[in-house]
Amino acid sequence: MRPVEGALSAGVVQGLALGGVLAVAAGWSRSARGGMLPHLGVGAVGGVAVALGARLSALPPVLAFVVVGAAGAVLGRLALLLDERARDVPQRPSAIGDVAVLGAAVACVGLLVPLQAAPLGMPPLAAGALPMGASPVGGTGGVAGGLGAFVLGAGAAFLLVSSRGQRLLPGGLNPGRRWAASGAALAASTVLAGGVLVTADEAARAVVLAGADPVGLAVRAAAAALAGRGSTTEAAAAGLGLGVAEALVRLIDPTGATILLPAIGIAVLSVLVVSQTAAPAAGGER
Amino acid sequence: MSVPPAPASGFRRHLPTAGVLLAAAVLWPFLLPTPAAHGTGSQAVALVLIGLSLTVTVGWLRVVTLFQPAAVAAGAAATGALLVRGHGAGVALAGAAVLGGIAGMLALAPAAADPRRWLPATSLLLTVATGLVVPRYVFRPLAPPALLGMDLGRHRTLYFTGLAVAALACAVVGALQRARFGRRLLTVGAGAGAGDVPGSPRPWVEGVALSGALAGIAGWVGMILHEGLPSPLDFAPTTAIAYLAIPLLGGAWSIAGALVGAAVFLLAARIALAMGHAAVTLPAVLLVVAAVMGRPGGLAGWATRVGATGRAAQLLRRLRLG
Repeated sequence: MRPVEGALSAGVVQGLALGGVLAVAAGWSRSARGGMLPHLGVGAVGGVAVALGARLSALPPVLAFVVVGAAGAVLGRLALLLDERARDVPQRPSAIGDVAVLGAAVACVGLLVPLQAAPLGMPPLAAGALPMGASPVGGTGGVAGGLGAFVLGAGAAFLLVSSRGQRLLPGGLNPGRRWAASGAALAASTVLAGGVLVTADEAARAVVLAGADPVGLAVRAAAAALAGRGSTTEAAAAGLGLGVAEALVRLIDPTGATILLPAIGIAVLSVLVVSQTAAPAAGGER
Repeated sequence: MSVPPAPASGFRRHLPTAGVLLAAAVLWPFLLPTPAAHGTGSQAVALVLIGLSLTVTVGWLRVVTLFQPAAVAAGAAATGALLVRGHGAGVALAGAAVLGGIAGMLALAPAAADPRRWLPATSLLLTVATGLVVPRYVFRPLAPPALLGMDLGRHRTLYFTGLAVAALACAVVGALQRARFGRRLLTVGAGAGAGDVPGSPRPWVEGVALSGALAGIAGWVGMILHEGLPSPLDFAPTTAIAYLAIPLLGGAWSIAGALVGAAVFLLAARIALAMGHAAVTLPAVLLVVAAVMGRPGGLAGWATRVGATGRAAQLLRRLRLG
């Protein structure tokens, strides 16, 4: 695959995957927060799942998918506990729950991904050894993974947001179940999207691990959820646009160091627009 | 909601503690007379300044802010730019404070309509953007400058200069906390006041400007300490989360909290390094999570509640001596 095609393909895959992830984030922000501010920690749970998926890459794909999905649900539930504990005390500053979950995710990824890649059974990722143009995440399998992630994420968002979807589940979705569902959907969609299970290539896992950045996922999720302004569909569309924009950035900067700039731009523009047009939502941050 | 407990007893009550701390800080380079120890001291000074910066936002305004690494980077960039152009270290210090304050206001600008809701996200975005650009394109090697005839290239001189700056910053922040300025910010942080009045974001602007200026001065210290090439890790978004350990562990409402938190943060980072962890942010992030699970007053709050006499009695009881 030529470098340009590879970069564009990787960008489309990422956009589709982001669409799924961000649909969950948007769904969560709309149904649970009563406004348009996404929870900064929701995307980060997906980062932990990516790292976990890479650790389990020796398992058969189906088994790994199930294990990672279940672990994602547990992670989501734990994230809720941490979030609630952080908000328990009225003197705490605002958004402390978001940062606590994000911080815990950073710590988890730090523990799961040692600086030396050797213990994971992966080759060390030398600088410049894997230009994004040669990324094995692209290609037919990668696009299929991205589509799968999109369907999964959108389905989870449907369950989280729509009353009809909630009626399908016995007892509906209380906050705990919602967080667990978010975690599971994020885990499964990000693992699919990252191609950890789609490709059995060691180098692919190294690339994905490089992208298992909770802060980066949080920034992207925040950007698209903000751009979606509470609409799941618009957030998914923003995720697609973001993926294409990131593919273009990769063409300019193959190192990927500036990959988050489109997300930052979209988020700032969205905050500027939203803050000018929307009054603060009633009901606080919960 | 009630205003958090601002210290009302004035400086006199804290003079003995401040004196002991200052004496320990002054003796430190003589007890460990190595450049590495002096460098660690300068890092501690920078952390204290960052802790004070977070005291203003997390403690007074009661909002999580993640722009501190961006403000540190802005201060460091201003220092480098001014020193390269032949200006003195004093001018660079002022420039670092101003540019750090501007960085804080830059984080606030998109969030001005509802800072409590938007500032955490916009400040994270600013730090991510700054971390992508500044360490790659701005920093250049720098010859150590002089200040009032003193060579700041010597680590001990830089430490004492930084210590003086940090002590002055503590005094200024303490005075501001007791003044109308601090009370206004505390009132806004408690959920009432100008922050809820449309078109009146003045306390927020003042708060983030002061916070950014303090972090910018920390950038000045770091820039001179690392001779123009500070570590890019200092400006990473994860570092922003890790810095929150300082006010959350120490206690977010007081200067003592910033001092205690900075000491614990530095200790955790040193232990992590000694154990071979290159990423010092990991234990710090774990500290943040632990602090969130713990008491809101932090270690300084615990010490204040128990009191010196109470602590001694507790210790005696534990040792079965009392």
